[in-house]
Amino acid sequence: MNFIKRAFLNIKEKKGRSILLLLVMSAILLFVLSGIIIQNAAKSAIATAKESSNATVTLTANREQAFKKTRKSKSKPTTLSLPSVSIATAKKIAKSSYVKSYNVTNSTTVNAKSFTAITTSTSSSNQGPSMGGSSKSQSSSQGDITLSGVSSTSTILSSSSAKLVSGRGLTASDADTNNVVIEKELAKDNSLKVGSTIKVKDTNDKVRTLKIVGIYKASNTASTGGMGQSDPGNTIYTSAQYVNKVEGTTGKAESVTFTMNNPAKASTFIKQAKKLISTSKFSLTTDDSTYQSLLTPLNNVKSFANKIVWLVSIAGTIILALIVILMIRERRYEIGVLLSMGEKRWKVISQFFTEMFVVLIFSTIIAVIGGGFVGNYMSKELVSQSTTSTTSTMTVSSGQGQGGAPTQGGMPSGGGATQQSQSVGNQQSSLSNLEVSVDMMSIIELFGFGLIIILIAILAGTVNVLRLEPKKILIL
Amino acid sequence: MITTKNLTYWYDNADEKLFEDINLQFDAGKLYAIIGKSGSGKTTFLSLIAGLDTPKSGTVEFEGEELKKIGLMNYRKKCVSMVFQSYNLLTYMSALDNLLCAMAITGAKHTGDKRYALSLLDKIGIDEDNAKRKVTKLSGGQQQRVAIARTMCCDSRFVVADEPTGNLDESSTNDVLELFKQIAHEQNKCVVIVTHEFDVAQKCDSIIELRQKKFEQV
Repeated sequence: MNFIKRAFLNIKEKKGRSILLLLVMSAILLFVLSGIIIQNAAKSAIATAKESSNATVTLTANREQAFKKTRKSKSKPTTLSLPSVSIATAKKIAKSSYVKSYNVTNSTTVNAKSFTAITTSTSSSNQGPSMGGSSKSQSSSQGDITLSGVSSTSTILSSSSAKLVSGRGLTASDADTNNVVIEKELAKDNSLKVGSTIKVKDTNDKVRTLKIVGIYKASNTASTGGMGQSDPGNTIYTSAQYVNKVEGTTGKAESVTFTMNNPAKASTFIKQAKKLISTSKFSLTTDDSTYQSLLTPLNNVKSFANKIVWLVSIAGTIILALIVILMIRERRYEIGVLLSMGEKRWKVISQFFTEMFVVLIFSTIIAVIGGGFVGNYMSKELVSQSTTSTTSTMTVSSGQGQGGAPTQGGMPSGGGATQQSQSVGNQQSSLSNLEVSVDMMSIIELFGFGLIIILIAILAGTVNVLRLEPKKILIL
Repeated sequence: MITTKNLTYWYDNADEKLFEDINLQFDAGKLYAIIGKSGSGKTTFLSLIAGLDTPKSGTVEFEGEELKKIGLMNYRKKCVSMVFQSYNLLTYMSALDNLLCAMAITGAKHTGDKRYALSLLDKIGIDEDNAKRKVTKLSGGQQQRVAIARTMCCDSRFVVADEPTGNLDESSTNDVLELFKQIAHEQNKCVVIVTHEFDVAQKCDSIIELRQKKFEQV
């Protein structure tokens, strides 16, 4: 009969003690597993947030430098001259491995010719949009239609502020074509549909024909930006190259927005990109607010889960070590008898280890069954606490600094803060569904923790008894 | 078989030596009794010759070889078997398992042989039903018999017993002493028992009394 058989016999015969150990061990492992799976879920959510939060870096003219230059100039009247971004330079920058995609934006104004633009009264009577006629509030120096040139509408028309409702969006293949995507209200009021053609007159009074390939719907929150700005329904998307054509330029853009593969690498990308541009003329601004707002609660959850794992492991080791010490004291005669028969000390320790190992296997099974439930409950509590605190912090900060960030080129203007908070809100609602599941790696990790806990507990429990001679153990 | 040379022992916290310069010899085929007053050092002496403790000075030799050379653990495993007053059986096992366990640890010739273990138990009056019961369910006399059977199933040639009859009635005491005699005489082993009962000692082949730190043949 070797030590393994002795261990099994002991577990079988001392049922009460085995059940007590099983319960204690299961409780410890349950919390360790919950910590591990929440930690893993937070890690994976951070990775997902990196991929999905679409941090962007926008290349635009450096307005600050341009203002400084204008103020230094002695000629009057002072006119702000902003340099255009070269699309060729943007293409070079976009070759960086950190860039997932890029979007060139350009805009100009034209006047509606074969159709009527939407006019909005900004008076206090709070009237809705009206058709035709002139509006006193509109600036007469600008055209009534904004032609927004982009390389692709995929990002713009899948956001919370605008959605494609009919036809198709614009892609790189629409470059140099007169294909456009117009707003639903504008299409409805002028009985236009996908396939129709419209005519506009540019600033040189040249009439241009545009072909409608898609219709989008601007959200209700995308309100007019204020004085001198057109109704969002008057924004027509076309290719950046076509806008260049209307303006009589080539290869120029107002801004280029680079979407990052990994938001955490935005600053590295900016350093890289600055080598390719003149920083006195152009600036690069990062918008990773969504990523940052997601990162804070996730990091809190991860750090809390980490603390749970370590605290429970340490407390569990202490509790188990105390139980093992008591158990071994109770079994000192058995140890003495075994040693007096010539049993090796390591075999006595191995017997205790085997007993605890069997308990560990069953405890792991119980922890795996219950860990999913406990982990889910704990993660929901943690995430809701973390997101609540982050949202309140964000509300305070957005209240203080509204209107600072430039809107992404060509997007229906206005309501920037609302859009940002909507986006963050959407992402955070997905946080409440933090994917907590027990996978094989978590089980292996848990088992590893369990093994270390029982090893330390057994060594702590046996070292005092086993260093003695059998006679001393027997007369203890 | 067992020789002590100038064996001396004292407890670290005691003012006086327990015994001093003990020179004794124990031969195979004989049953020895060591008697003495309580606290005189009988059990300590037994621990030293059983390899459970080490002397302060002097040596213990087994068949001419010092225990230190044999190695205490090896000595306990191969050369000596012990019986205690409180039986010291493994309480979560049956009588049969106790024997099988002892055989496995000591690497006895009949390791794993259940029939041999059962026959030994039967020989000392433990039938198969009792042999398969947990030892805690057996009477004191039966448990002591199991402890003796445990020494018989191992191949060791030296058996020591500390107050083996201390918890037993007269009838069981006689049975146990008979068993020790059988072990000594039939199996040609050396058996040393420690007792404070003179009646028990008288039934042994040789009596050694520990008096005033010295051992004297009675």
